[in-house]
Amino acid sequence: MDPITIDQVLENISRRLHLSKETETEVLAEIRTHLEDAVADAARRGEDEQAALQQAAAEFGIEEAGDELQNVHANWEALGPIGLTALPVLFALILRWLVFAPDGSAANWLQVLDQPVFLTLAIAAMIIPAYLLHLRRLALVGWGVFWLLTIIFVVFPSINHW
Amino acid sequence: MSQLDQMRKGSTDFLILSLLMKRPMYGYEIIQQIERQSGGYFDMKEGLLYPALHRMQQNGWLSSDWRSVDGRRRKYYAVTKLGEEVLGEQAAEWRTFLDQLYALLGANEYGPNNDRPGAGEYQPAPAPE
Repeated sequence: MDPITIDQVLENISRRLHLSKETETEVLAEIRTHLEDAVADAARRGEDEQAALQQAAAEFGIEEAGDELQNVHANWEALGPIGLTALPVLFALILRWLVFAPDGSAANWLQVLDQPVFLTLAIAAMIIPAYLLHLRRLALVGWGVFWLLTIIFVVFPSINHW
Repeated sequence: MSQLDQMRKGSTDFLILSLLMKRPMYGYEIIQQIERQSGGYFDMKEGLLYPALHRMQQNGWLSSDWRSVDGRRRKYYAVTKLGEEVLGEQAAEWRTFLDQLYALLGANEYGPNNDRPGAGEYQPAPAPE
């Protein structure tokens, strides 16, 4: 059997994963530690390290483990984009509700800026995706979308009412 | 997959939660402990363990954090409050399952409390005449 390295094993698992870079890096880091532990244990017992790595890789079942890990994380990660799409829209709608009275008249936009609820919404639009969904880069995009929606559907229409 | 493998797979979550109730552990340690404590009967494969750990974490049953121990970074898992509740429910289910199984087995010659020679060993039922 050809000698293998931990990097090769990880690369084979990585080929089965199609996750966000952050998730994949963490999953592979955990597996790397596991393989290193298995090899170190074998060395302590005086066994052949290469044989230990081959065995650990075989027991991992690269294809099955890769597919299982992909399924587990893919389902969870699908929630991220859904949340990131829904949250900016939700926050922009709340803001519009705050600015516009039921009769269609708009509050002064600058007065809205002073309200604590506006600040709370703006912070929540950033923090919730970033820290609950652990997708910080996408959270920034979501925050940008929140502002874009706010400017188009809240700020401009309210300026026209003044 | 053999029947025994299926039974082992079915008990994965329960075994992991039970073990982690004692203290937080990392993946390799969990495998070692399960094998050691069961005398090798439960030989959990890595390919089964890690997806299970990640799924249980997503369900909110486990939390995790990276710690540096002996110069190596390891991901430690611990049981959450929700995980404790799930463990309690699963323990009750397993207890009921085993009670019912023993009650059924006890009523026939394969029962665990049958002290005749050869009790508990599988013997095919006699062929119908």
